[in-house]
Amino acid sequence: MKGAWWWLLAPTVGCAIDKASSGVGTAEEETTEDATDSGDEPTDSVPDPEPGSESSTDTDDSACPEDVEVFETRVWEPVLSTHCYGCHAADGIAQSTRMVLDESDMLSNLRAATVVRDLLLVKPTGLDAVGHGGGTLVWPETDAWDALEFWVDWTHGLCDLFEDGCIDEPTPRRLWRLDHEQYERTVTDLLGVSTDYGEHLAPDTAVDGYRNDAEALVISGLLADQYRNAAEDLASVADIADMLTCTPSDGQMTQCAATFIEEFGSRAFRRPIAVGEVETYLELWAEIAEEDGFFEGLRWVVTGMLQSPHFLYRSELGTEADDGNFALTDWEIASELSYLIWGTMPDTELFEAADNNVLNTPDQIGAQVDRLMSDDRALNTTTQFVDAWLQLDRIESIARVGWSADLREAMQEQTHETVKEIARTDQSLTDLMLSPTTYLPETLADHYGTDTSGWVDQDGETYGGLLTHGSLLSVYALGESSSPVHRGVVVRERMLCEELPPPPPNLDTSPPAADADGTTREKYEVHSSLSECAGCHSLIDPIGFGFEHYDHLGRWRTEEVGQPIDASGDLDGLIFEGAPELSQLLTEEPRFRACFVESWRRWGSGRHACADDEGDVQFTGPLRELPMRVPFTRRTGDSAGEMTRATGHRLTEDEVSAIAEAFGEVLPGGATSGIEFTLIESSTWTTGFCADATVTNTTDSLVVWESREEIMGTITSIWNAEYRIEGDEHVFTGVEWNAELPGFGSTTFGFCGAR
Amino acid sequence: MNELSRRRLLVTGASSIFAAPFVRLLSSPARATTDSGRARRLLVFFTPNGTIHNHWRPTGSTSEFTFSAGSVLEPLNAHKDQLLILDGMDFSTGSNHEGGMAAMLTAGGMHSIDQVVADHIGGESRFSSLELGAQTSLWGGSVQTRMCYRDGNFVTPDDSPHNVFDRMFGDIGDPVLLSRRQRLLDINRAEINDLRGRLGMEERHLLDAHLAGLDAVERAISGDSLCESPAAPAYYDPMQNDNFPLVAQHQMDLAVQALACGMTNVLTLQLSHTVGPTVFSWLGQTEGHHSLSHAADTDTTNVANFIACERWYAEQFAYLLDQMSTTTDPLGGGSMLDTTVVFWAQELGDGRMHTCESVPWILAGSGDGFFRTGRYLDLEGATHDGVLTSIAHAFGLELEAFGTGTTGPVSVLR
Repeated sequence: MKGAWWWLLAPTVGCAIDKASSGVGTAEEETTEDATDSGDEPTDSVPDPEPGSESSTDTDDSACPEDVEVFETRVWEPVLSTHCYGCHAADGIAQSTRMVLDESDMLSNLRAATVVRDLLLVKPTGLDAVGHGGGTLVWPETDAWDALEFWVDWTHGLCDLFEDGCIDEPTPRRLWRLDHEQYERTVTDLLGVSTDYGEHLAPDTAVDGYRNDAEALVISGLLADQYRNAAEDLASVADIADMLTCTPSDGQMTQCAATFIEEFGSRAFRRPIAVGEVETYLELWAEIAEEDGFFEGLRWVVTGMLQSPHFLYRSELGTEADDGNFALTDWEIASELSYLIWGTMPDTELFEAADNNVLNTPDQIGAQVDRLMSDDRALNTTTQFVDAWLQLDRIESIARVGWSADLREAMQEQTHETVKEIARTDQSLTDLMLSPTTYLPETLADHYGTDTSGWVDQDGETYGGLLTHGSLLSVYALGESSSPVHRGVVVRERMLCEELPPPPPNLDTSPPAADADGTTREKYEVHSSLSECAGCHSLIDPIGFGFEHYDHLGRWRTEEVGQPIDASGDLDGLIFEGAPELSQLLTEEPRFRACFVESWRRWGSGRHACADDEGDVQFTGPLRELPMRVPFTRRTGDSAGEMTRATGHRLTEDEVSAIAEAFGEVLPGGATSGIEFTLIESSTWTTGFCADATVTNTTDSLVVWESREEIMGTITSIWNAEYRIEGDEHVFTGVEWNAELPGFGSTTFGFCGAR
Repeated sequence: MNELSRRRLLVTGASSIFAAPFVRLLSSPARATTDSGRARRLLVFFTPNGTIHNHWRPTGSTSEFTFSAGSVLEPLNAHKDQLLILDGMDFSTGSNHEGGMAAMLTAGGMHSIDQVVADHIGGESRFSSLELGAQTSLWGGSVQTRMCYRDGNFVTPDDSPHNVFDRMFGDIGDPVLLSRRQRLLDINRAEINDLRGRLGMEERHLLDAHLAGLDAVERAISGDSLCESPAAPAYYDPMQNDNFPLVAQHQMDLAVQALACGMTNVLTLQLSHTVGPTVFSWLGQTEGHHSLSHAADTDTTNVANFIACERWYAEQFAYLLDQMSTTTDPLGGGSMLDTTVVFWAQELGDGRMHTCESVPWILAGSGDGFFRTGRYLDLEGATHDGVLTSIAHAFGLELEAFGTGTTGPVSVLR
């Protein structure tokens, strides 16, 4: 349930004033950082209407035919059919937006207008930050405006028929691209290569502050190029010989390649690879293997699969079910479970459950949830959620006076270890907020000036609970002072799920000259003395004042500029003293408890979500509950096209052999039989370079290796190998200890040269 | 377990900054038939959070003006003749941080000016356009952090000079490597099309974007560089606040190189973003740029701090103009600056008011004589959609209007 901030956006209300009428303004730092940090999805940040209009929230949740009639006469006829339909028809220029209208299907129009509801008041009216493709069509104080305003109010009172999440009904089919953390973990698990490539990928769009919104995870040209680069690099260091379950001996080359493609492909695509797909990749392998050897061919197979849509997107398409919906397949469910709880690809047990078609009933899914939750990987997920929920990941880039990398890491460690402990021991949301037990790394203990580090019990009066973590207090601060505004906003927006609008234009937001002798609180209290600011800031600052005992680095203080700290606060009429008391109030606040569940669902489902208050919940409760909800296994959607993934089962050895036989044996090329050689330029500058080389014995018997390469330049130093020059080629051989390589063994050497 | 650190791969022993001028052409480009009086390239430079006008405005008349000592634009003195300083220009639509950021280059439409121009003059270059940034994405993509739009979607800037360097000078030109990469692109495209066929109409947009992305990749890896690769910048973390100046300089160097080497004709360079919290620690400052942008006139200390930041941004723009003016246009006709439209865009007027009125824009370089530079213009409330229309005209793109605006070109610019 959301709060009552609609009036803040109403065109006739607000805190807009003309500069001429008051040269004095306020906020040192306005609320906008988070207030509108919702990507290009303004729907999600537009608040609900005033409480009075919520009267019919509890009407029955079956069809509401009277709504269709009301919609048709009061909204469709006067506005949508005349102002919007021209572009928003199925074949109109706005057909790719979320509002597509159909003259002959009023229920569908009702649904479309409900999904976008608040947008109806900001898009055609020109108020939306990203504009409206069709320009401004509706102006205030017109009948059209009134009709849209009526509709927005009305939809907020509708039986929650079309609300995602609040009611447990199927959600639309989709592809959900791996987010960057999932990508990094997945390549690690798939290839056995530990890497930091995920954190170097182009940042995704944040929606509601979350960077895993399925609609926003798009593959741009930039990201596609980064995936290409990563795939090539990762495949070049992956130990493919180690992944082989067959021996690429003479006469068995194609067979062994096909086996690898079937096995690796079914893991990379997280479902059984189809015959046609094996054939495609086998052909690729053969072309390259004939030139550069068996393993080089497989390396390009891996490179290709790492860029495949079947790898990069998680499929949530399902197969058509009897009721007209789509039932997700067991493999899709396996991926949902592993990515939700572990943030990575399914493990062997999940794959086997899917292969055996025993991963679709609530019992079967519930048993896997229990198993996955008992693994430490689930704990990492809980810390990621908290970082995303409260946007604590911003700590990575903040700049503060007195800041250091050590302090940042210590603060992150406190939050992560404490959250994990809450999760591990099945504690509740209330415990997360109030438990005095926390982990204080030595650096942080020193920073706070306390003697005890490690697991400590705090007093619950100065420190205790998540709101008093250094990470949160430092992220929500300014360079060298606390920030009641930022701290108030994070509680209002992230913990109560009540979005705030940005300050209106034409309001002078420059603060009056700072009184050098004043406290931070005094500087901000001017907000409430100026009526044009108080409207918004009375929702923010009185909460933030409760944190005044903590400076910009989270350190406790009892006085500021010689004056005692006043940390009295006000949460919508509930008076409190200091952050621990605020924590207590929040745990008793239905809006906070509902927001916490909503946030878990938002993060866990990658789409807009909502929740109702169900009292105190287990910290990991909403996570455990997600797989048991209808949208986890059921989807809505258009009727599918031709289904091309027809096999539906892992190919048998005989089936793989049949593919290989039909393809025919391939004779791998390459410089030295049984040896593969890769070279990576490890550094390069205008006049020189250094390179790392890897030599792999691809046979099961001992070989003395030699490799002939064309090197552009003159080698100036070499280690772990020797070379001689023959014609255009450098001939590399091993030194005493690595001239011979055992079966499937490998060695590395390096050299530097001048261009 | 094997380890592969992108960071480690990027570490090199080379010096940190390119020597300038640094463009070393390997071969002369085919001399295109270019119309005189028509701009060849567009370079958009952005800095956030508005200005304080009385510290920004030049003094004097349209043609006889000076930058007073200590003012924001003083660092641009050497380039005065190449500047067209626009005062009194309001946005036609959009206000506030987010609205201004969204409307700045789009004027309310679905495409930003850089993308519109790229579609017109992108030609055969490897990159239809290049979007470079400095710490634009610490909060992820959002209306606050993006300025380039295509079809209403964000075009994401590349915040890593190391990645930009790889894209520009990476291992292109090897025919075997290229044929294998193209082979994979074909396989992946077929997979996407197959998957696309299984989706309903409304579910396809992600894959359509993906296909467009692969087309861009193919184009980028297929080309050849006209230039010798300079040394790669040594690795540092481009997201750390204190590295902001280094990122900015490397991105500017790479930008000039990309344009001069014919890799692209359209480039945007976005330093931070609206509400950007950058702390100019290298100037000894402790408070973020956005906070400082709200200093009242009576708060002389913080006004001075803010103006110091703004002057630093002006110095960066001056450095960019230095590089452009000392690099010869390989197509002839003078320096790169002479034939390019360089354009310093901002999203707000007075940052304290959150308004998009008198937004301080500067055009630099005449676009081969299209714009009449060396002037300080009061546009007297003319709107920015008109200026964007004029920029389109500089490239021979005769639009009647831009975005949702209706103004048409601003004749006084010529």
